[in-house]
Amino acid sequence: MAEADVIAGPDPEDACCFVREHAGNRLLQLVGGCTIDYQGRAKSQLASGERLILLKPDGTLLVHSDEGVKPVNWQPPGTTTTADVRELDGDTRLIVTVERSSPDEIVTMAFDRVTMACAFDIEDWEDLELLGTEEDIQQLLRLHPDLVEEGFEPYDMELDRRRGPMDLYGHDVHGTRTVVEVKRRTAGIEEATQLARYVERERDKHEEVRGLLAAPDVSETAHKYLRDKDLEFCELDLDRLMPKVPQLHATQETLGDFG
Amino acid sequence: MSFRAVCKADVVKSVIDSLSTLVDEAKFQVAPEGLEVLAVDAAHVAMIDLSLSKAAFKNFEADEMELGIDIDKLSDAVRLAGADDEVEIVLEDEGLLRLEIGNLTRRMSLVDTSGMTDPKIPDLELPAMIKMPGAELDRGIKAAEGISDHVALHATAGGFELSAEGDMDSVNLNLEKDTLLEHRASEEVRSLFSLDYFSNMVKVAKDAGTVQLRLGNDYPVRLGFEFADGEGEVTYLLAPRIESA
Repeated sequence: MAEADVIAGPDPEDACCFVREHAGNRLLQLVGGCTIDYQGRAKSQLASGERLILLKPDGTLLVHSDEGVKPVNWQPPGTTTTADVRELDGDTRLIVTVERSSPDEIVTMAFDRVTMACAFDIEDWEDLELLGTEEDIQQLLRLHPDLVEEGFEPYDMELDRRRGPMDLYGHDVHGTRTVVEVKRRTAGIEEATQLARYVERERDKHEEVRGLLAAPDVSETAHKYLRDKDLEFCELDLDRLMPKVPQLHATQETLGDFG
Repeated sequence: MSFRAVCKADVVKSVIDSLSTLVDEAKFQVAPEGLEVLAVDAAHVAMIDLSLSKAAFKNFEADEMELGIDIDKLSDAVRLAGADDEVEIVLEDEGLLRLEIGNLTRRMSLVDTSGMTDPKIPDLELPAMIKMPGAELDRGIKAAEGISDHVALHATAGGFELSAEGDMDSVNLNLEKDTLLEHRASEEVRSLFSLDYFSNMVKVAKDAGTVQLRLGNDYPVRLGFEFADGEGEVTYLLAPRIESA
């Protein structure tokens, strides 16, 4: 199952945030006009052209033009990606750098235009089995709300269909309305802003509303954003949760299944 | 077609308790030697095979017939009877059952059995067999309640284990071979069950001196015990929950 986040025609700053958010986490695709500068065992430069850039979570880089089978540039797994915004030739540009050591190589992509940026979760089947899906975690947390927070009580979601992506909605030990956004991988700015939007909506209607982002980890930027918005991060211990997931999938057989 | 039975109220109550875990009404197969009930719950997850010999009754005169009985009504009828009170059950005309408990008379209409299917008991190879006091099994179940919705039954060469795993806590009832009344497990077997279903069955069996469990690997469990001083027998069959991961 793949989930995708797509931004079309982002300005350099948004594209920069997007890359910082997803690089190393998800499969990242960038389509845009860029120059490619390679320095390492050799040096090369590619003039500006429309390219498809694939950046895998393990650091593999593939740069494709619109022709031929082979990538015009590539890097093996183990690289580090950085994204910046810089003034070049009077324009603000997104600069994505992919580098590695032994041998020392650095690929610099300077975009004059980002047509599209896309981030995927492409899960290995094995991965799914080991880690469980987001729905599994949500269901688990609904059954064992203490894993979110001591005393958290989720509301019956049947009554609140309009919740949208808000994963869990309930009240804490003090009776304060609490919104919980669940993520099974590192939570980023995307989830943090989503949570903020929902809490904002709830704060229009209710005095006190708490927002919790529940995930195994949270990015620096997202964490700072949460603090700024008076929201909280709640760490999920997936190692402890995941062994419980098979039992969620324990389907009740009928006697007819046995002849 | 005649039917007349006289027995202690607690025999009737045992029948009611055993059946009501699964169904609201049941088809009683009556014959001169006694009666039998075979019923499956609505979800087709659990089944009961209950038999009661005429020896459990003070009086038992019956032609071969089927009686459709509303278990809730029957339960209501004997509710006010003490365990040792005598209950007389008579078939009055077709379709009406009369119950007399002391000076209390209750008449109840029979249920139309034409719609009731005859469940088929699956022929199962359940390699492990464990016998233990009902109270011990009940203890394990009580410990599991509040921990999880599922209970795992595990039989090994060394003994038998009942376990439940929750998010924070887990519980484990471990019975070594020599503490069991009987034990036979040539291969290791384990199956997972809904605690809801299983605990209802165990509650009925808990007063039995001996409960027999037949177990397989990801297979239904067979839980059997006697009542009415050995003249009655209940066998439950419960389908497992199978972990897909």
